[in-house]
Amino acid sequence: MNCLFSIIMVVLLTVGQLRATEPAFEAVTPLLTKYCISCHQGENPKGDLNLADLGPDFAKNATAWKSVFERLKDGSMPPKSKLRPTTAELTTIQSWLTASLTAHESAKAKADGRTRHRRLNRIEYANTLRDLLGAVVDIETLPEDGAAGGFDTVDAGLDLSSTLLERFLETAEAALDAAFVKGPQPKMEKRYLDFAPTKFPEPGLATMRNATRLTVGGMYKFRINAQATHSAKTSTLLVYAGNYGSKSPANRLVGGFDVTPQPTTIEFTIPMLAIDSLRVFPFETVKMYGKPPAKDAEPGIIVHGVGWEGPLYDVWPPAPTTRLLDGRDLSKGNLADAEAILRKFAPRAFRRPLLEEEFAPYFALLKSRFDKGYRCEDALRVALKAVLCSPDFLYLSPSPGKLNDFDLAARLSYFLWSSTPDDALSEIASRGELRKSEVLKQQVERMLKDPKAHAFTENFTGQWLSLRHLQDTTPDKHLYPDFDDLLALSMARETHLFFEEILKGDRSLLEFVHSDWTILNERLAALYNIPGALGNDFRKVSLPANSHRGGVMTQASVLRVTANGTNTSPVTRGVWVLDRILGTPPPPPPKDIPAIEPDVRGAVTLREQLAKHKQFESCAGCHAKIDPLGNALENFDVIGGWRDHYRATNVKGNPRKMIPTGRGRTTWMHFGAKVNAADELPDGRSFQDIDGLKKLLLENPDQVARGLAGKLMVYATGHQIEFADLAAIEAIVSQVKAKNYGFRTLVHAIVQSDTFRNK
Amino acid sequence: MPVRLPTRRHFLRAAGVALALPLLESNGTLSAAANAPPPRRMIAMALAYGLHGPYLFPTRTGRGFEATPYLEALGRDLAGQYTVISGASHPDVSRGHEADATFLTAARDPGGAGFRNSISLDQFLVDQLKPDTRFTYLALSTRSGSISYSRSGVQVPADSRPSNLFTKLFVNGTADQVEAQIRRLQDGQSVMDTVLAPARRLQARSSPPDRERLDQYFSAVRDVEQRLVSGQEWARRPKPRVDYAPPRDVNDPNDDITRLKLLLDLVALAFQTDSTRFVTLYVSPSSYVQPIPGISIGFHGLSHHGLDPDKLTQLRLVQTSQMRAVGEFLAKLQATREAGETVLDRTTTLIGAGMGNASSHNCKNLPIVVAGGGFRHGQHIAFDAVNNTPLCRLYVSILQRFGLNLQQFASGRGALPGLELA
Repeated sequence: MNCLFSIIMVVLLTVGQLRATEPAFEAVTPLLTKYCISCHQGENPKGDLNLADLGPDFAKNATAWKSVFERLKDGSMPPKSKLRPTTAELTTIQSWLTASLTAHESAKAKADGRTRHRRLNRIEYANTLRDLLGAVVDIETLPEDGAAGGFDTVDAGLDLSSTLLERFLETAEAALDAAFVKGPQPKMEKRYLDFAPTKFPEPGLATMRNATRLTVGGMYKFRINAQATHSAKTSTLLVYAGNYGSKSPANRLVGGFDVTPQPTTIEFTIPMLAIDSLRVFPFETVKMYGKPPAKDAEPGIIVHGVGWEGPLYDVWPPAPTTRLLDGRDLSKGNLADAEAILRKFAPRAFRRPLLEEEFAPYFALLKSRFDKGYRCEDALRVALKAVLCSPDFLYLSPSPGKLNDFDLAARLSYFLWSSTPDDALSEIASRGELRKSEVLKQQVERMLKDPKAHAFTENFTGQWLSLRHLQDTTPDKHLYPDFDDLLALSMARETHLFFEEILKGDRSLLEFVHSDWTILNERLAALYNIPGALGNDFRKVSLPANSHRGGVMTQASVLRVTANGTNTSPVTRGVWVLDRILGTPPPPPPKDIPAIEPDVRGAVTLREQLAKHKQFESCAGCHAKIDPLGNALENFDVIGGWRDHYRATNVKGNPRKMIPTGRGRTTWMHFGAKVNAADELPDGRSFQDIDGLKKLLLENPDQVARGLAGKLMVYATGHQIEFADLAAIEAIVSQVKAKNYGFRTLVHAIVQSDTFRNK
Repeated sequence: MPVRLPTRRHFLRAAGVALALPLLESNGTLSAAANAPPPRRMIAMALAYGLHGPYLFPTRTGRGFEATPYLEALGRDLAGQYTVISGASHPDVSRGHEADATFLTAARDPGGAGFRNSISLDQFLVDQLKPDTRFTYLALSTRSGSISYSRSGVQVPADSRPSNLFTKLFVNGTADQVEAQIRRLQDGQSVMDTVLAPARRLQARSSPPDRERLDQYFSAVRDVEQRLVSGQEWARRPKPRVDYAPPRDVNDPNDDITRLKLLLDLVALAFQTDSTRFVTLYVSPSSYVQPIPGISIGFHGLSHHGLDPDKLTQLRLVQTSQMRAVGEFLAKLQATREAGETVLDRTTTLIGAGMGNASSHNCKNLPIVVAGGGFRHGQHIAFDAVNNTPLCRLYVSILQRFGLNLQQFASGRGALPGLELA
């Protein structure tokens, strides 16, 4: 569906002019008759499309007409072998289609609403249960959501199957277990493993072994006492948490921590599962000691000991439980108690007050369980499960027209928090004030300052920039020995922090294309070859003029996620830039084109391969747009490092060079062909490398703003951009332009737009 | 793999009647059951990266075709138990990996604007035959994704953890747990009853396209309710016992072949115990370096071999391991007999892929092998490599094999020429 967006963007500039001279169906009919009808008529029309009978009834035939529009736009129809319309004739048909589809969609949005009822996606569902019940839902137990238009908040992708509903039923059950927690607070374990008296458990590995695995899950505070030894330098200690002994990907890197030659205390609080333990490794050095080693020992880290306490609770019982039970003791509870709890819970779950008759079915269910002799808690659980399986909980389902305060609150909180409104927001909604622009603005500010807004960073960048797919490929160990877990963790963190910095300061969204600063730690600084950033803490740094960095396209995260772990493809990266940065994804390759078998044996670089493939007429049109953008990024390898030559395997003739591994060590690497990043855009403007391309892209700042505004609108409203949305996007772009393209301004402009404030 | 089947007779009750007369299913008498033939089953597998054509397809066609590396990997003993089909694909399906979604559905233009999927072959069979088994179907995958799609074109999520699957199939709870489970199912049923009222209210105030959206909810509620009802009945019956140690999930995050083997082991057990008759198995995409000697490049990287000889060698090793795992599974089905036939004879096994060439993301000339199920096998049926035959004609043959009197499924009109019933 994303090709529609690109088509729309292409026609966008002409829409305004077209309206005045918009051709009538009568002007189009002869053209269709001349070029299309011969195949598309009768009993068995080609492609099941009978144009003879289609007619200008868009209420009935909009989908068919849209596909006509797309086929014309991508040039696949009429077929090359047949008589084809002139450019002027094509414009006539397309103008008519654009105007008609816009009119049709506007009318439809007015009558039916733009965004369909949509269910919560699995992340929103889990966050909502966290906020309502204090439950930790493992989203991996729920099937992956469909993503229409690139985001999992979009109505069209959020189907409901019986299996999913069954899972919701089971998950509600588990979530209620968390809420109905009983008894005193689980005993807090407080331990300290002192490594000094004993020999270190295993060289290079400090661990809470079997005897010290955690038996209760929850939040734990850790303290590690360590110091660098036989070196004047600060070293890095890597800390992993997970199920010791399994190679499960659940063994996660908590972080890299600075350890100085003086005794250093590292402290952090993280969630742990019942079987988890903690492991620590030195990063730059191999040696790890329990007590100070002999004088002639190798440099390393002494880990004096590891202490922990947990599980930690702010309060007991947990706040959501207290909130749910409202001071009632269910072991002595009766129907009235259960009813009171249910009455308070349902409106929170449904994000709006309930009418008495809406409450009745849930109460009837509750009462039926009491009648069956269920204990109070068991009866209540069944009724709460019904609330959590109700369409009023599972779906965001406003009525057509302007959103009422409650629906607006819900749309806003799922946009910025990926979760349900909090009390403050619901309170304002219930006073009927949220729809006031000023109040709405204040709420956006308040919500963006809340830690829950990190969900916006994570889920929006996770999809807009594909960061969710960072783990999908593993860099080839032979070609990229300099890749490591610390780098992987740092990559994602840089982009998150960069995004938040721009959002926080209302900095220009053009900085996503180019910035003279970034936020990094020593590991990334080493990859980027930028001096001055020492240690594992992230900090904002100015980029040197010759760094070739700045903006998201040159961040390691994006460069890694647009590569496949072994090599880079200018096509993949070019499509990525067209889609994510410019908002104009190219259409997918035409259907049923003859396959070109990729053959890397004779070709020296992929670029030459592509040059061959540009010779095919069916490919050239789009690849003239795609390939230059990708070629500009060819100076960046699979893990985001700069390269002048491609890395290669040990084949005769490939020279080798020493490269740093980022661990303070070096390794030999073979190098092949030289990178050529210079190219020219379809309009003839040429560039030497990524720096040049970024300048060219920024010559059209509105296009960048339009692209991002479109993405944000889709994410925020849960519906893909259609013809009828183009005017709204343009209005937003000009508002944002007037404020120096501020990104926070863009978020406000989206929220204030009619598109966001209507169904 | 010896299997003890204390309750086998019980499970087979009326199965044959149900299969022969789909509309009169399920109330057969015990005397009918004694003579009823064993049930027919199907497993359909889709390999995310397909199978490299030159290593799979024989050059000779018909009955005298020569062995190829991948057919060898299935096992020599199995020759004669399968048919290789070349030159078949789904019309109007392209766009590379997107085609996995339509492998069993043949819906047009996956990944295109406004694409809607349609029902998959397995779900269609389940809908038609309504098998009276503990699980009407199993949708499985080695990692994530699924190739089963419901009536309304919604993906049916797949199980991918062997440990969970084993528990679901074979682990009985204590008497108390069973009682609690039954109560939970009854409560669930009441929950489903309850939510119909708010759903109707919501529907009443919704616009027509939203009402259409809500149809999914209503249909899900109905299906869940039915499942909860039959679940209660099944909860009272003990699960079959098998001599198979409860599998542990594969710890090595790279190891896709062991995942495949474990799942196939459990499918064989599920068939042998008649716990289900319809299985789909999606051999999911995997970027990982397989822990096989000689492999140094991730599987996805290998699939984009670009004819690089080193990559092709490695690809062959990985795909040979996959085929060997499938061959072991087929051999197990062949080694188990029931009512004078082998389990394989009653189990249509479809091995295929959405892409015919993963290196170029092409969706023509799909790699297709059909084993077992009671067809006259032992041939290579070759169709035109340029003008492919709709793969759904094979699906029509399969539907007819199940006794359904149908001439069309999706883009397939008429049974596959050349493939006859045994």
